[in-house]
Amino acid sequence: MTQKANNKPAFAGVDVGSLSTKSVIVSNGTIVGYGLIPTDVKLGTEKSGLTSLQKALEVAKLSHDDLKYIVATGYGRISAPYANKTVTEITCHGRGAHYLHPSTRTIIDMGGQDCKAIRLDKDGNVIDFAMNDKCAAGTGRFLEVMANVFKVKLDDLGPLALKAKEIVPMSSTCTVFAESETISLLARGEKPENIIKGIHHAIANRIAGMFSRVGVENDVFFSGGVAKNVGMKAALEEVLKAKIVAPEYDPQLVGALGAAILAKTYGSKV
Amino acid sequence: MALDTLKKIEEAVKERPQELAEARKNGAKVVGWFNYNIPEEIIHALGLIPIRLGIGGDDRLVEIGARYISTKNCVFTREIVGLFAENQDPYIKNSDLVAVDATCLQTYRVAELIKYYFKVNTLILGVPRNFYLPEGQEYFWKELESFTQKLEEFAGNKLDKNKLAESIKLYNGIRKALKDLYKYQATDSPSIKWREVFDAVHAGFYLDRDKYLSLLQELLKELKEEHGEPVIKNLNGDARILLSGSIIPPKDTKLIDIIEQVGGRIVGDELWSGLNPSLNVNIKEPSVKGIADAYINRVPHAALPYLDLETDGRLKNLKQLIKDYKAQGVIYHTLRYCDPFTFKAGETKDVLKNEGVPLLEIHTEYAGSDVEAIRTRAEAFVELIKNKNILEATL
Amino acid sequence: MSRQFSYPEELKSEFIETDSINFKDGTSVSTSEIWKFMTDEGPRRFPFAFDSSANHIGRLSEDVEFFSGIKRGYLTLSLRDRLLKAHEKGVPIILIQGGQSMDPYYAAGGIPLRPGFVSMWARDMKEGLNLREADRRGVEILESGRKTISIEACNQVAAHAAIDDGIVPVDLIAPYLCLRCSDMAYLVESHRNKKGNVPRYLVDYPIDQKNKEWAVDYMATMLRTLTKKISDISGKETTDKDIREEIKVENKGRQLARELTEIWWSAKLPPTNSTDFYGVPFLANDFVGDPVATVGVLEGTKKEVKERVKHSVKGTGVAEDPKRLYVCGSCVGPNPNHVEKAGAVLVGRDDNWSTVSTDVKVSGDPYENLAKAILSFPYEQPTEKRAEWTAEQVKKSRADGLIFMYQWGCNYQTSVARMMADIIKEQTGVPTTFIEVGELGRMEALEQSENRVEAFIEMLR
Repeated sequence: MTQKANNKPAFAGVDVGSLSTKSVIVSNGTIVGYGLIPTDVKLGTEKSGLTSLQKALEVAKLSHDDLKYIVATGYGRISAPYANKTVTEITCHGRGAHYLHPSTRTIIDMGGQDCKAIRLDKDGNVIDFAMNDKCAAGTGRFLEVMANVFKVKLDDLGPLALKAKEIVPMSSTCTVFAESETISLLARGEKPENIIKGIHHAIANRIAGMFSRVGVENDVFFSGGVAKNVGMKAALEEVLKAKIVAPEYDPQLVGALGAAILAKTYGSKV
Repeated sequence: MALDTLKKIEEAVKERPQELAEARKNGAKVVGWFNYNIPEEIIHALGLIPIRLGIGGDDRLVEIGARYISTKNCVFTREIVGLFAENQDPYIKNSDLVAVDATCLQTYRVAELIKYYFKVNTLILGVPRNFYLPEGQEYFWKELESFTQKLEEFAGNKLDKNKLAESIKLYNGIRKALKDLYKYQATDSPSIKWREVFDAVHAGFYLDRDKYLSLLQELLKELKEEHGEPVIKNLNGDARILLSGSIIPPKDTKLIDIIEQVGGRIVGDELWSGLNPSLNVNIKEPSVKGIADAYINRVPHAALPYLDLETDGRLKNLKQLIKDYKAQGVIYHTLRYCDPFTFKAGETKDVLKNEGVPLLEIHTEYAGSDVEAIRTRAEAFVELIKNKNILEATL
Repeated sequence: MSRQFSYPEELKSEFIETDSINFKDGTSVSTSEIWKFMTDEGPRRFPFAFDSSANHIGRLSEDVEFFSGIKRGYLTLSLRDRLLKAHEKGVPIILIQGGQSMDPYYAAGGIPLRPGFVSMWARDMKEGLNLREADRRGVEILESGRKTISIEACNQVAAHAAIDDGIVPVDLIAPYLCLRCSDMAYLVESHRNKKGNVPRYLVDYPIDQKNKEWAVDYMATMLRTLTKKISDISGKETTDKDIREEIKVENKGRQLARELTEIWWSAKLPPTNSTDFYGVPFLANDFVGDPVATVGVLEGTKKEVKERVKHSVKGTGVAEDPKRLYVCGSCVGPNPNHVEKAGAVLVGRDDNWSTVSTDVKVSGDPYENLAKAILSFPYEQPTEKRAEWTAEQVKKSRADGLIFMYQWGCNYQTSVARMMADIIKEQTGVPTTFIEVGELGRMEALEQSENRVEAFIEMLR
């Protein structure tokens, strides 16, 4: 995915999220460096951004001065004085997805605490979007809570869901209620994988609610940390009745990549 | 550039609670009201002082109110209950009678609760769901007659036709003045912002109505001197946004602040705490029937269900306002548990999509915990509109 | 994991001796046919109803010797077939409100169904489902509704989704807009933006109108329009006489329910279990698609209850010293099986009991009479009056505790939960609590609700 940088101008995107901070550097039309670190609350969002940017620079064998333009995105973008411009992660995800897969028309972006439905036109412009309402039930948080209940790693939830032969319908109106429901179901002898599949479906139903607002058009692109979850991909395909493009890149980097592409657009005009 | 009259209005609002308390000491009676279809003309003509109650944005009052109503009711209703529970708000304290109409039925429950728990003297005005059918209109007329009789008993005098005609003239004047102000705020490089007009509308909830009209007319005079007649174009690339949806009462500034911070320009609203109450009120005769017919036939509130999409007056009005103010997008504000607006969000979006107008729903409450989340959504929407403007300009 | 329950063969001969069921259209079903259905066809087609492994809602009563209970179960399970048959014959099927009266609908030749029955019917359109599958199907229909409207809608949105998705053929949506329900008006409205564009009409419910002439006029006019709309679909004209005749039948049902309830309440030991007793207002208010049939079953129910009280028979599954629970709130109730196991018994519920308690005058203008009756439903009165009436029922039923239960999404009921509980507690001295549930339309009760109900019962014990 990376290439040794030369003397062409370089542009960077920094995506400061609540859980992780990502940076991507593009130059001469390709990705030359990237960095991904957990967002350090003690260090602060500004320093987290700079740290992940530094990692990307190391990979690209560049220095900070080589960067012609920087765009910051994510919740932490408001404290990114090193950035030339800030843009929301919706617009950035749109650009990033379009770059990686130009026939993307719909994006499902699922992070730890929010979820976005984004519609693009053929040029990667955002034409519509919807985000989850104040409620954990449609976010990755639900999965984290459940991984804890089942005492498994978050990454194991997806494969477990695929093993299920049956779905136990789960409450989709409250993560906390679903948690206590889970414990009673386990006590009653329900198979863990069936419950886990039910949880994936409950989340998928909440996401489908957002999509009823913006519509689904092929190709559908899955991004964000939860995109690595094969069980979630399967549940979404079933509930949305759509085929989801398998990610061939790290879905967590899409926002930062889009920011870098926008940095190139704005930076080239300067 | 701050307009002089706006300062005067602000001052007048500051002094109003004291003014009210004194008026009451001298025997005046105050009728506080909330919801959407209480005709102030009648209250005013009977020599009573109308005050529109209800403020928002205070999560502490919401919490207090939720102990009596419930956490599953909209924050606006919870805050109203909280206001009565605490009884510190000067307008609540100075209301001798609280009138509530039944447009929004959650608010009707509030009336029951404040009567039971806080011994508030309440008066209910029924509103028909079938407001567009002759039998519904007949019902509303009779309801208003009964309501008026009770007000007469409270006031200690009968409704006089001439006084009513005068009050109607006054309120027609206020409504016209507000509509004119809305035109001014939507022009390019306006001397008055939407937000200032919105605050001026709220001032009208409290101030003495005669004084209010003369202040509005003074304000319009200032604007006319500076600008001439208002002409609404769309020349300077703003992201022009119309604000619609659940009520945004005085003191609920979270969403408005955020839209401004992210570079959106609000050029009008379709709110019942803003422009809507001033629209389409045609009182044909100075009588209770004249008022009943006018109120039941104006722009319908979303809380009154309407079964046919093509002829829906609320949507027609929304589409018209978008045209009038040359808005490029609608931010549709819904309060959690406000069914009338929330359930119609998808439909409203579909309808506006057919007109090529994007809509963003912001579903929220009064707590501040979603400020960043709203900021992201509003900012992305502004980006979308500005990008769309650029693309359309290059075509 | 499932455990199929079946009616013991030894009861068959005695069951056959009881009355057959006669229907409104003149047809009838014999007790042997009912027995065959409940022991052979039913378990094949609707296995979930016969699953006794879990405390699920809709589970058949274990009190197999209570024959009226078996007949009520039969009416519920055969509803799907009867509705499809009626629809084929051109009988208009109409979605209405839960707990409202039904006289004008049946009089005009239609079959009115509350949202719960429409959801149930939609679920039963797919046969052979076990408990898990039935629950899952119900949830899928529910989620379809939530996606298009909002997650904040009460679960009755499932009924609207079932209609919109074409799962069940409903010809008209025309409820009374009783004050009980915050969602109905907007859910009916939402059909205007749907592909099905089902005909719809709202019978408004003016508030605080028990004594206001103009409210009665308003409602009477709307009821006339309602019957005309149904007649337009059925092609059958509705005369004043038709309405009076229907009112007589339904008054009979209401009266029987009241009489048998008084008898049930008077008994030292509950003569039936909660499932069977809870079903009585559903017979006398909702009529499970056929007033003639259910009035017949009510007659049988009254006889059986009387006999049991006479011989001090206790309902199967009822604890030795059960705590008596009265339920009020929105159109939900606690899971009767669970309540029984926790040591309590359900002695009443206000939702449809309010309609059952209100007879309609027969002589005179039938629309005016209907309007006056509807406007005097105790459940719909201003909350202080509603609470007083409920307190009276709590006393009559000798309840030990009151649960105000409301469904997720129900703004109007939750808004008065505390006020109702406070007033009733003050007037009766009985412990009260309020609980939110998410049950409506679900088969398996959710743990959180069961937990709270159980804790309350323990407190009473």
